[in-house]
Formats: sequence, C-alpha cells, structure tokens
Amino acid sequence: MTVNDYNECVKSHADGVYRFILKHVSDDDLAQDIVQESFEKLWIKLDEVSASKAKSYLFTTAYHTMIDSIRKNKRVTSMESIAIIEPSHTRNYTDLGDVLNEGLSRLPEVQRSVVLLRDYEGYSYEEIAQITNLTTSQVKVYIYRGRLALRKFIGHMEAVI
Amino acid sequence: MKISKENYEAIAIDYLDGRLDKHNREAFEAFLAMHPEIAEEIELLSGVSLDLKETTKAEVLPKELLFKNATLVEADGGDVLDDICIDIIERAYKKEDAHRIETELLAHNRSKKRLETYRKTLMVPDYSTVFPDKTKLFRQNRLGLFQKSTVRWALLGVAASVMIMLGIHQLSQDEALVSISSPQMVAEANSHKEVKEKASQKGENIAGENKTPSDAPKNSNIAKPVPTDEKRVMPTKKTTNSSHQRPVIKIRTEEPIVLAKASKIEVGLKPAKRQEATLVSVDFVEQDVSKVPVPEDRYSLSKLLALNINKYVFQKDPQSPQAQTISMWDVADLGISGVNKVVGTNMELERKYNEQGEIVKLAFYSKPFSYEKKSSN
Repeated sequence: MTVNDYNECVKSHADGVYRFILKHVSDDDLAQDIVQESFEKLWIKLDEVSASKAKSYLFTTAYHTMIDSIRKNKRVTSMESIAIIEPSHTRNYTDLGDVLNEGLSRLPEVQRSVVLLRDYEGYSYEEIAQITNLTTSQVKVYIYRGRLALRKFIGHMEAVI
Repeated sequence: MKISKENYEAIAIDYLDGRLDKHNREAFEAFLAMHPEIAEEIELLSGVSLDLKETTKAEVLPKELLFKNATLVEADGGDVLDDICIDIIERAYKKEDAHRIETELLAHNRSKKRLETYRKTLMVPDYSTVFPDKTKLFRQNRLGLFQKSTVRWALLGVAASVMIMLGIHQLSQDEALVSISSPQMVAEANSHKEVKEKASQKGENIAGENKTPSDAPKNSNIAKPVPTDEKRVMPTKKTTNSSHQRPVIKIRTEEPIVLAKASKIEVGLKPAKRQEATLVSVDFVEQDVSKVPVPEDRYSLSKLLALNINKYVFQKDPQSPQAQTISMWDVADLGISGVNKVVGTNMELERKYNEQGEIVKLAFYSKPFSYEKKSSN
C-alpha cells in the first residue's frame, strides 16, 4: 500500500468509520480519537496491508479499539446479552429516525455492530464475521435478533404514537 | 398449559399446524374468544401459513425457512413470519423467489405490516455526519509520523530528557558555588588578597548555606551580609565598583534565584583549581532585599517550569498548589510517553513506594531490555 493509497483511504473511509463508531459511543471526541488511532495503526502497517484490504483493516481496528475503550469505561454489561428493549413512553420522539436510533442504542454492542456494518457498509456476513471476530452463524443470529428487537421496538412506538 | 399474551404466539404456530391435542386446542380457542384482536391475527396468520405452504409445495421456498425449529423461535421471541421478513430484507432469497414471497406477504395485512416494519429497521447512514478534520489523518510521507501532535510529543520527549539531565547535574552539586566568568575577574579577585584572607579567617560562607546575619564579616563597613537564610532571595548578578571594567559574576546556588540590584559585591577566591570563590558580602541598592520587586514567575526557574508544564502539558489549574511544583518523576514519565508516542515503543517506568511515600524500588521496562533497582532509601 502506498502513501497515495493511504490518503485515498482517508478520503473514502474516514467518514464511514467515524459514523460507525459515533453510533456506538455517542461521544464526538472519543469517536475522533478512535478513528485517528485506527488510521495511525494503518499508517504503521502501511507495508503490510494491501489497498484492497485497507477498508476491512480500518473497520476491524476501529471496532476492536472501540470495544476496548468501552470496556475500559465499563459501559458494557454483556456483549452477548439478548436484547430486551422496551420503549420509553416518557420520551418524545419526533420521527422514525429518532425511534430507530433509540432502539439501536438499546441493543447489545455486538448486535448493534453487526446491524450497522450490514446496513451502513453493506458488508456480507463473512466480512462482518471477520471484522467482529465472530462466526458467520453468530453474525446471522445476531443480525436476526437485532432486527427482531428493533421491529418490536418500532412496533411498540408506533402503537403508542 | 396457561396461555397468555406473552406465550400465545408459539402455541398459535402449533395450533395452526394442527399439532395441539384436544385439551390444549380448546384452551387456546377459549383464549382467542377472550382476545378478539389476537383471534384476528391468528386468522390472518392462518392465511399466510397456508399460502406459504402451498408455495413450498411449488418448491419456491426452501423448507428450512418455513420450518425453523421451534426452540429458536421461542428463544428469540420471533416466529416464522419474522424469519421470512428478515430474510427478505436481508436479501437471502434469489431475486425471483424474493419477488414472489414478497407478493404473498403484501397480500395480507398482518404480514404486510410486519414486512413494512422490518423495512423501517434498515439503518440509513446520515451522510452529513463526517469526520471533522481529515487533515489530521492525511500523511505526506513517512516523515508524516512526526507531524503536528506527534511532533509535540517528540519535543516534549526531548525537553524532558534535557530536563532530566539538568536535574541530575543540579543534584550532583554538593554545594553552591560562586564562579567568576572571566580571567580578568580572577586576576582582579586575586588582587584583593586582604579580602580573601578575611574571608578564609572568618570561614565565611558561600551563597546557599544557612548562615545568620551575625556570621557576616564585621570588618566590612559598607557591605551588608548576604541574607542567606531568606529563602528565594539571593543575588545573582552584580557589577563591581571598578570604573573601567564591569565583569559579570555568576552565582550558582541550590536555592531559588532572584534578580536583585546590588551596588557592590566582594568575593574571596578559594585556592581551588576551578576559579571558585567565596562570597564575602553584597551591598544592595535596596537595603531591604525583601522590598525588591520581583515578578512572581521569576522567583525560580524550577517554579517557572513547573507552572508551565503543569499548565500546558498536564492541564492543571495554574492557581492550584499542585501546579507550583513538579517532580523529576513527572518529567521522566512525560519523556517516556513522548518517546513511546514517537517511536512506537512500549517503555514503562515503574516505582514502588513504601508507607512513607518513599521510593523503594525502581524498574524500567522496554521491549529490548529491562532494568530494576532497589532504592537506597
């Protein structure tokens, strides 16, 4: 991978990685730090990572850096807990986007990650498995559970609204 | 089996498939009679199931999609309809199959609503959210590693190293010295033999040692004794009465240094090789040295450094007492952090303290080597 390839990666993927991380941590500064750290790691591994694998490398690095960061901050209770998300009737939701974001924020980290990687970046199950260090079957199950939980959350909210 | 709103869906599947025995079927029908809205759902679901079974017969649907095992359905709280809807939005079917199944789903209100809700769960990126400053990420070449924030760490590392060396050098001084900066001054000082003898006879002190004013030379009628017992008040720069020559005398002390005006200074040379001299007396322009105005931040070099490092590097409040001092360990940690950041190493400097807060063990770790030492304390 050349310096030009690297800079192309910044142009092409920095925003995507940033959006992905920001959806998890909801902290601009922390998200920026994680993205910067991921690109620094890519820069250090410039000679080892091919241009075609750069995006995957970036998301993998960012994902694991984020998980480490979240664990350090003790925000995660269980990575694999089954989502039991109930809508908050005391909160006002202005549109579906808000409802969906709220539902997403209530998903367990791993479910949120696989759903976002699938929808935001269009990764295949196999690619998501590689990034998140899960098996393909686990990815399918987590996506299934995540969507099911979101559907129920949205359904509840629509009934309330 | 007690049927409730929480568990009826799983039972409904068995009911629709005709797998319930008579007793349970009657119980379920009684439950439906009490909950007409659920009865309506079951009726709709019945239609979907039948349609899908017919489709299966036509070998359009893979069998496993219709008959996902019941345990998975129960564990996840979903049902067959959930499976199919998720597979539709996950594009798990072939294109022609997906179209046919979707048409079936849309033909019934319940399944249509379910599919539409699932479509809403698809996350769409907000493209207005972008990384704020990509210039932080771009690199020009390999030297880019040393740009911007990294360069600050590098400079801090270098600065810390220099400060460590200075600190070690300073600590290595056993006593404060008065040194004369020019050979001319040495010659001039040598000519003041009388002063030198007086100084040696009286055992006059050099700057930085704690002597009381009463220990000052009594025969110095114009000189005021050096107030060496006053902390932070030491003369450092002085011109002599010589009309043609105004050499500079540098005084190095362990005490904080202050700049003060003095009109006369007398020194006595030690019979040493290093042009060391003994400070005899200093005649201040201001008789009361404490009245000499001195900027707060110039009281001492160490305080100045401590204030600035604590303020700009450690982000401490400059007004806080903690910001007034800095230990060499802080500086060493800073230097190691800087080196780690620049070089990518993982060096560590570890100290172990006893109950009195004294360092009893010192250890340095890095990839290539490690070092451990018990402190003399």
